[in-house]
Amino acid sequence: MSANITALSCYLPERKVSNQELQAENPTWDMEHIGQKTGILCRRTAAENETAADMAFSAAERLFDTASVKREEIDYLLFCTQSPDYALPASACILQDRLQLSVNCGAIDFNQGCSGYIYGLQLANALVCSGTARNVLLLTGETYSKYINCRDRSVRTLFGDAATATVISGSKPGARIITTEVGTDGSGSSNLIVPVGGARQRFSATPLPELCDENGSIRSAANLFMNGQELFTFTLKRVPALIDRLLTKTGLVANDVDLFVFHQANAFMNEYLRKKMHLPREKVPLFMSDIGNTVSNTIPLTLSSIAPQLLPGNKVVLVGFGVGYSWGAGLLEWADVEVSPAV
Amino acid sequence: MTNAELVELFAEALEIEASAIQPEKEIAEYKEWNSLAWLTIMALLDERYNIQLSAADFRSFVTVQDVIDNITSKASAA
Repeated sequence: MSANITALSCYLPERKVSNQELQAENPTWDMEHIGQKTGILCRRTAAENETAADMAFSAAERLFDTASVKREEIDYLLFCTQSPDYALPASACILQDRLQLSVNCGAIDFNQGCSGYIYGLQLANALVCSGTARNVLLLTGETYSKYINCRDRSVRTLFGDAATATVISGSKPGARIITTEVGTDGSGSSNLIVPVGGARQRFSATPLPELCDENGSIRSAANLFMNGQELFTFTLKRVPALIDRLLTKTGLVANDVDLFVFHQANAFMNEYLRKKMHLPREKVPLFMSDIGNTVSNTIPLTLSSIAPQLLPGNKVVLVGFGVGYSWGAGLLEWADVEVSPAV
Repeated sequence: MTNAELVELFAEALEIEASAIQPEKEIAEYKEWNSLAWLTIMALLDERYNIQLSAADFRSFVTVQDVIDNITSKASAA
């Protein structure tokens, strides 16, 4: 029994925030330099009243509009987000109703970021291969923009919002999930975090103070905080070893792989990783200049952009890494997938 | 590695001439200084010398010379 990706669709919110706009808003930021380093020139952000679940709904509706899978065939919904609509219930339950999926459909949220798509594929693969589900709908949706302080250069220049929908099926042909590997190091949890708003530190009625850090970025404890240096160190330490582990498990070497789809953190990091692993540029696409780092959405977005160039039988390695710390990689054997890229 | 090589690496990260680097000057006083420059230094050290700096290292650095001393001691210990 194998599990195959049969359909993939993406959604980007309408609002574009360009480097020019950020420059005009923040005269002290050197957006030209930042743009050169990060490779990000524009990012999309959700509307004020638009949530990650709304965007995931749109991605899923687009999938049902364009792909051959029928909504009544879906018997498990996995929704990856760190921006759920409510503390409870799970956004996946609300999405089951909005998408008019079967009431016999399982539906859960899972909280992961940059490794989330790999986790979704791993869980979907397990559900399908164990006979628990036949057609899994994996949704990713993220709106870090709602956590970001508009005067925090370190994160506002990087992150964008997006959503994607993927169907993983046991009964239909598609890109086969050959294997997945994941890893965790929670000792890095405080390096990419929104400290306030969960049960540990709840929102209070009094507004939290906004503080300026040593780099001139301003945020409160209810905003997203990122320690870029620590994230960079973590990535260099874990990602090459992760890919080695995945390849060793499957008996492949890097040369056997036709395409590496990395989480699109920023061009500086991704290019550095690529060079460190001696991978050729043409096998490691960058897809972030117009949309930014969209967290759990980067891998399916990049995959959808490159899908027209892939051939059946191509070996594709997907690699996610970040918030947690959490990391994961998966190997696909490509086949025709019904892809509806973002517009 | 020599001091001159490390000064060169620092200059490369800050995108300025090596002659503009003064080892005793405080890092924060370079106007080209920012968190991206740090990342570049980390990347170059890793790439050229297989040296990884920790966050604790970073917190202890005040001048360029502090960074050079730290790297030199790491290299001689290796």
